[in-house]
Amino acid sequence: MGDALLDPSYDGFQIAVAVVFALIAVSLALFFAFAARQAGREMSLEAVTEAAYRARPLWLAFLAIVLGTIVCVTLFFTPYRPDTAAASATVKVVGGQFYWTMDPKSVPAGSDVIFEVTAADVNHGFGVYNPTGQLIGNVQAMPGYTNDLELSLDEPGTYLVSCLEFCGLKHHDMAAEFEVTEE
Amino acid sequence: MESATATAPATGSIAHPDGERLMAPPDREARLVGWLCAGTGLALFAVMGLLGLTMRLTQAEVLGVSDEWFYRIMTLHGSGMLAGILLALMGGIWYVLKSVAELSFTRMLVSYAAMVLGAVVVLVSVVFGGFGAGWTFLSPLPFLPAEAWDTWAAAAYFIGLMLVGVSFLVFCIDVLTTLTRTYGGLSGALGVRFLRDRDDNPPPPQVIAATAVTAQGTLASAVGSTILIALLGKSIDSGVELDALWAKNLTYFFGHSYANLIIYLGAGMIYVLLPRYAGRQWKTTKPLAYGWLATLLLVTTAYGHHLYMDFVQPGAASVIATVSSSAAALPVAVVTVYTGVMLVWGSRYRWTLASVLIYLGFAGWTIGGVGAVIDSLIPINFRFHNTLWVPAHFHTYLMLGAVFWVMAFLVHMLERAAGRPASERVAKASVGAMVLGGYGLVGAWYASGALGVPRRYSVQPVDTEVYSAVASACVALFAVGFLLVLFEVGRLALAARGGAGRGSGAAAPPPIAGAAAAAGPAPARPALTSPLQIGTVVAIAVAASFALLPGISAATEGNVQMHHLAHAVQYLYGIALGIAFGSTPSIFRRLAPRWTGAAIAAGIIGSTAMLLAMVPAIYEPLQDDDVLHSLYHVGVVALGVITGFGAALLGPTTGKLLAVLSVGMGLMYAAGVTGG
Ligand code: HEM
Ligand SMILES: [Cu+2]
Repeated sequence: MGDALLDPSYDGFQIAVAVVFALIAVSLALFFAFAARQAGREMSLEAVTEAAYRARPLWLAFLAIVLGTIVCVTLFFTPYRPDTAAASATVKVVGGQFYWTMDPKSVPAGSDVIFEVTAADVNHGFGVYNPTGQLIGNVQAMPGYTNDLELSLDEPGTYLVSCLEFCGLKHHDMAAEFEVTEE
Repeated sequence: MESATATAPATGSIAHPDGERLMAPPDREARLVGWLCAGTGLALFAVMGLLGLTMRLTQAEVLGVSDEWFYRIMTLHGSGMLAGILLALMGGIWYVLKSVAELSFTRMLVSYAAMVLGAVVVLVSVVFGGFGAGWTFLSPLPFLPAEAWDTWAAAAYFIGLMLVGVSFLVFCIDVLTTLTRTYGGLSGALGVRFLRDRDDNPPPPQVIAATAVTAQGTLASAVGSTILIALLGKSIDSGVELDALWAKNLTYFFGHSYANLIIYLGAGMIYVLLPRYAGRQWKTTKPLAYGWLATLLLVTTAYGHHLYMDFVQPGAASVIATVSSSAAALPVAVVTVYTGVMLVWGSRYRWTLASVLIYLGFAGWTIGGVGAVIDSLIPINFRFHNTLWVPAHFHTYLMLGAVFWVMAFLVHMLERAAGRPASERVAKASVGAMVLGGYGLVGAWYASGALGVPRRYSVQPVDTEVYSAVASACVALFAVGFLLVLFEVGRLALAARGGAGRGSGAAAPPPIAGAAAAAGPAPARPALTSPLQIGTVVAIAVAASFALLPGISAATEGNVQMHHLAHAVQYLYGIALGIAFGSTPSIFRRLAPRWTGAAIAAGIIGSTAMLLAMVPAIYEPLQDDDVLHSLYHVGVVALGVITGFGAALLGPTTGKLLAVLSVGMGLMYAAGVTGG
């Protein structure tokens, strides 16, 4: 606690998500601004209603297809059901107020690691930041349960684990280092 | 459409000339509830907002608030904001329902008092007890405080939130009971009969919205009470053990539902307020009714997105959650916001401070919703879970959606009372400042969330303090806008007191057909409406009574969960007796409906007491004495009878719901609580 400092940075995926969101948000803002201008005009309710009701099924279909497709695709990329058999290393992780223990504390680069994560006291969040400071994944550390998190650690260097579930007074300080050694 | 301009009263400058005719003038009780709830809600918002600024300034390292106080402030801010805005919009929907259903003023005041009391108890727990486990109070953190608070503070916090829950539950039960009685049962009030072409005169849209919200709210309150009582039990007796995954599920079900229902309550209110500025009626259509049916279901099933990163949670739950979370966007985008924009389009919309805020609320709701849907995709959540993206999206729809609607509601009432709109210059300046400041605040959160900065960090990661600094400046800008709104609120209030308002003078214009017809409630009916239903319930009672047999009872002593299950079944036995007894025509006729208030109290007290009685510290001492032990079990049955009797008086919908949920509380409790 204390000496390991979180110094986050963006990666492509996070930027992509943020940009997509920003584009949608700005489009919505422009649409609302445009509609606000139309609001001042005088048009017959019948005409507006007819046009809107005609467009509504299309809008519904569009949204349903887009959202449905996205949801279906994402279901192929869930972090669940790690392939424990193929893993090249297993690390036992315990989170406690306000520390992490990891055993072993380092693995060779290129390892497919299974982190077996649990908690000694309250709920914590095992958030893994790579040497560049990019948040590459997380899993909850829960008392009484063990969650298996699979990560491929190709980049050598010092990884940082920082707590991602509020756990009390020093939650923000609950960080620890993990080494991925050159191979 | 006939021309109404000629008959428009002098107040046409506030509302659309046709707008006056789209809503029956709110009566005195509606106005009182409106003032109380919106006023209290905004007062809480102001104080809690200052606390929010304090947090942001601390994170920017401008203020030196200690970690203890940061997390206390965070806990208070979260619970205080949610309670305040919930209260304000409960008042908002009540205001627009009162003219179409005979709601009980007394029970709304009880609900108000419970909410205020709850907020005070939470305040005491945080400020004097030091409680700071976050408003989601995930077990077992409240009991492992790292010396930052005492157990009594945790217990007080749970009681405070329970009072918030009681407030909302009383509101939900009363509204649901009245609406179902007035609009032909649950299927009538939800618009299902209309969807099946059995109803030519469907309920107005705010009734459908309120029915869906209060039904889900009743369910969420039952789940919330279960976890809160279990936690309270653990603070009384530290031997109680709560399963961490179980606790998380219940907590998030409760928290997710409450935070969501706030904005849905607001939508119901907007159905009535917006037409006053657009001069076009918000009609009940089939898409609207389908939309609310879907919302009722999806709010219930989407909560699992809070548990994506608990890999031990069954995978099916996460799949259901991700599908529901995305699907929940459809009724918003295709029905409510879509129709709202349609009604505004080409309407010569009257732009006043209130109506601008109504309109902007749609933007906040949709933009925040997009942020939510993004985070509800599992691979994205794997990289965004519990980062600042989370406060980013929910502040977008709560602060720039729900809170804008609360302000709009208050200003709407004032503009009506004063007989003039708010000053245009003030409106422009205040709205401009709040939009810039508000979106700046959430924008900084979205950016740092994508960067991977965790939420709930009193000290921000290296080199990210700048986001907090920018956000703090934005909050200051928002605050200027909000102060301007308050300033205008004050001026309008003075004008209203000066008697410039309407209501005294010109008679209200004739309402447009169907807009305001207050249907009278149908005669009260008991929960069980036919001899067959009574017979079925008696059969359930007979089956459940086996749980009282000494042999079976003794067999459950070994295992705590089985023992709790036995209690739940004994309680079920009592409920079945109570509801069957109370539903018999001769008894029902004598008691209902004068005893609605007592019936609601019986339901709440019966179920709460049943769960509290399971705390080992209470029942273990009795177990050594056979007589006391038997009496204890008889007591559990008696609590069931009380609950069931109350349920009987509440009619077919609410009564059955309450009975089923009360038994459900016992079962949920048995599933997760051990120890002792
Ligand atoms: C003046 C406007 C507001 C400001 C400046 C503000 C600021 C904040 C800050 C700094 C946090 C902590 C974020 C973190 O680092 O994790 C927070 C959390 C929160 N806010 Fe706000 N907020 C405002 C308005 C609102 C409103 C209107 C609501 C709800 C109606 C609300 C509900 C919450 C909740 C539920 C939390 C989470 C608390 C927790 O993590 O336990 N806030 N807010
Ligand atoms: Cu933590």
